Amino acid sequence: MSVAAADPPPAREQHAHRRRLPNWLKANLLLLPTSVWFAFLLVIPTAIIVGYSLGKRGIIDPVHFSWGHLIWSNYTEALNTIYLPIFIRSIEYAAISTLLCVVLGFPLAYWIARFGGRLRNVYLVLVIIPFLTSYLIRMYAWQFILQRNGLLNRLLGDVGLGRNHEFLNHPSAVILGLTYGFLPFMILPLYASIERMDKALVEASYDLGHGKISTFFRVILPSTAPGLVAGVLLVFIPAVGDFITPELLGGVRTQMIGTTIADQFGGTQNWPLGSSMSILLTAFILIGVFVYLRRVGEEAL
Amino acid sequence: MSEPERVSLAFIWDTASPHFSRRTFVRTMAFMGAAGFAAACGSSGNNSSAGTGSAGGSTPFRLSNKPEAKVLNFYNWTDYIADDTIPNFQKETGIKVTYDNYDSNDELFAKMRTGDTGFDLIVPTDAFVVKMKHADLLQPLDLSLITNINNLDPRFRTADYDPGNLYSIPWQWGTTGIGFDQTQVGGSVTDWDAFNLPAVNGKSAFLDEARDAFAMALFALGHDPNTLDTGQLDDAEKYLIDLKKKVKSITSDYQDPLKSGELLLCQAYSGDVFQIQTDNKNVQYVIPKSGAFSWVDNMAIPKGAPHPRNAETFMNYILEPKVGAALTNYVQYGSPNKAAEPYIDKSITGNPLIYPPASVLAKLPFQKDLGENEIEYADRWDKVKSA
Amino acid sequence: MRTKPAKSALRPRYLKLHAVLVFGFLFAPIVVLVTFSFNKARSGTDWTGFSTHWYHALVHNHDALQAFRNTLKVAITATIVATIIGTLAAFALTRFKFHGRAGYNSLVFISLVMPEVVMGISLLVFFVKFAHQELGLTTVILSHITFCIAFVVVVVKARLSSFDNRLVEAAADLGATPLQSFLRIVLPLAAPGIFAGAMLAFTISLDDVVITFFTSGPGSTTLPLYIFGQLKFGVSPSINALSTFVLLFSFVLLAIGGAFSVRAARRGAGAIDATALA
Repeated sequence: MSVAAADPPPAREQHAHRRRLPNWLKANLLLLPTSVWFAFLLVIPTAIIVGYSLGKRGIIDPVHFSWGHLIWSNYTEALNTIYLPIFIRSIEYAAISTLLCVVLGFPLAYWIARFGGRLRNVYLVLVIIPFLTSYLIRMYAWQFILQRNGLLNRLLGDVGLGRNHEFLNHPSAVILGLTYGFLPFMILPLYASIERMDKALVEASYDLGHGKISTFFRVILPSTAPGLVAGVLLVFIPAVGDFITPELLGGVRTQMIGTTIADQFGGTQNWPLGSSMSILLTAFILIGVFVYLRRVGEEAL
Repeated sequence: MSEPERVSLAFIWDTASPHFSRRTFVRTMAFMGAAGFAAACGSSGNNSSAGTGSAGGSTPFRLSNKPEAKVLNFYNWTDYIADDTIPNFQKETGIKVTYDNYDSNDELFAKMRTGDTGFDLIVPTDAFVVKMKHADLLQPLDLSLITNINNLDPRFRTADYDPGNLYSIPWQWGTTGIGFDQTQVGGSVTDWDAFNLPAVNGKSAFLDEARDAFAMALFALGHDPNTLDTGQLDDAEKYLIDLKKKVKSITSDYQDPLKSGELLLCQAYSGDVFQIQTDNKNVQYVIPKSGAFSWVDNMAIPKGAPHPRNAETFMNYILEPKVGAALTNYVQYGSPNKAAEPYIDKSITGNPLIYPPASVLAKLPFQKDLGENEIEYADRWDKVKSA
Repeated sequence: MRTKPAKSALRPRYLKLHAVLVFGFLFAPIVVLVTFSFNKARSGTDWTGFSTHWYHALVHNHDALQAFRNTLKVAITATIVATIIGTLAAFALTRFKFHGRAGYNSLVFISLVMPEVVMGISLLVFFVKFAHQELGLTTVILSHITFCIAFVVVVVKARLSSFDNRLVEAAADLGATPLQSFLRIVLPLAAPGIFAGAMLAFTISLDDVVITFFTSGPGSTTLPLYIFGQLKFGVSPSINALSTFVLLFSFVLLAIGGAFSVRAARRGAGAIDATALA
């Protein structure tokens, strides 16, 4: 049960006679390519957005930035209460979708990892195949299934359940789209983690007289926690900022924060406001993620 | 089978560069170094580093006699050109055209605002010609090279958005009216009040474009569609917020839902509806009685374009009567090219929805250039959408 | 695989049913898509008869094939580079404790959370204003690698965080060099995670529209951009045919990649057994 906690090796000193690079140097060497990459293509662009968020909206230049005149009011404007319901809605949709992804994804990943046998990789590729087509095409296919004259209504009509249900334009359509769109981001890390789980532990748990539920919560869940945490992060975080799904499957009452931010760079032409919104969103999500990781005891930070 | 049609793993890589990935890697590493250097210089020397646009020193000065490479980087809407337009141009002039696609004015504008993108010729809609002009993103045209300009309908020589065609040459034009399924709406659709038909409640949509949506409200209220009057704009804002409760969505991607019957009625661009009609004959288009905007897509040259001369050559080519007619016969929108009309299919020139009679034309104003005041519309639009 | 089903906490029979249902959910839109790629009429919604016409037309669609070529160049390069450097970073982040680890993880999360439009615009500004780099396939690839790294790091980290370092210690005691133990023990153990990360990277790169739009230049239109424009008038059978073709093609690519990783994993498994026995 202590598999997850066996992280740093305790006794390294005894091998000191062998020629070895110090750990900090090894770590830095391994991190070097990513560090260089992030420094240029993530840190600088993020800094540009931070700069924009403190600039003044302009006609000729989209943003006027000057050190002497930082416009902090972009942030108070971003916190305007008219955006609050949209923000809460985004969190809500993303959270529900994440939960659905766990419910749908965990048993599937578990089944593939433990009972997939020699076909495990085949099943895994089957999970990913639908995602090798354009996201938009898939969402259009869902539109086709869910719309008023769509496949689902026709099927329901054929079995006498009425054929005039409104599925689109409803929060559930957006949640369905998000769940569908991010499901492999849950399944793949879960699989990678479950596949590593020591089956002997499960057996041992039974031998010690634990029941199914007890074994699930005491053995299976803790030892697959890293995959679950990774899956939750990979689904929840991008889902909050998504803006294509609500646009295609939602309606006037399902706008999400990603759309609002995109609008500031598009139709509304208010880049400073859009930048401050996305900085706030990022900060908020980061805080949430760190609190979450602390809670689930993921000490990999 | 000719070269590009062969489908095999080998076709992924250019035959000219078999070691693509390695070369890319080397180039990438070299670039990273250069980028670091540039970033260091850029951030230390310039305190307004976050600002972008015209002031950048990278805009090359245009020398009138500098010969250009025989290349034209053309950035146009998807499927918005006749099949033989580019091949014939290449044959005639020897200029090789690279053709890329975009699908939204907003995104094109956002992209152009950050600086040189390498494109020579773009096709923004009138409202965006105005925005780009104000943002100093367009090059003035050398009209002496565009000798066919007199083939244009005079209406397009003096249009509100670019009088005198200093920055743009019109490509195609149409109107922003209403598309609807005539078998489902349960009434006659002649004006903007059709959104009130009970049958379309919750099954309609209007455009996700500030000026177009406000124009609809302003036309319906009997106001000037280009107004800056606060009272009239307040009325329009309220009208839109009320209308929002009745519609299904605010979207510019209404084509597929309208075709499939998911949407029964929506504010729509004329040409889109005609395209939909090829699949669904029940969908009709109407120019609302109280008036509607004319839209015009225009060819323009971004500042810093590497081959502006070739772009002007292309503009002149498009204005040739037969070339313009072939374009219109393919895309089925109205042509601004008066001289092309004799060569355009009668089914197009005889259609009052594409070539409206003078009495209707009088109620189809262009979007006016509002300059700084455009923000007024943008901010009110944000409120409508977030309401 | 010898576990007695009745004893298992999650019973295989229900699990199997669940798996079938989830696969049904995953493939529902794909079935629609593939079916309608064989539709006779131009319409994407009414079935009028079987035809392979749209596949024949596809072969002559130069623009679409060029866009597909671009897409594959981008996706393959981005996947390979992101997988390699992301895996190295994941190793460092799980195997060593050092200052700034939390900061590093934050960076990974930032690249996940930043709305696509914002990331696209900021990268574009960086390329054009700071790096003075001409827009084209190179800038698209650089951007794709950036957002793919995060996915690889998170997935590989999850796989490695339960890694038992005693295996490496044991190997070292038996005289294995660090490189040997890395290649023979750590890498094979991490293989499923690396493969999963690579698959995710490949699919998101294959699919990206927004960031690609902003960072592309003349001649670098990718397939999603091409399709995005076509979709304005709804899904046509030709788009469906194109998607089906892409589906098959990338499936073959994945299968090849998968076969390699299976081989590597098998070799690795042998190595682990050997160390465990020793």
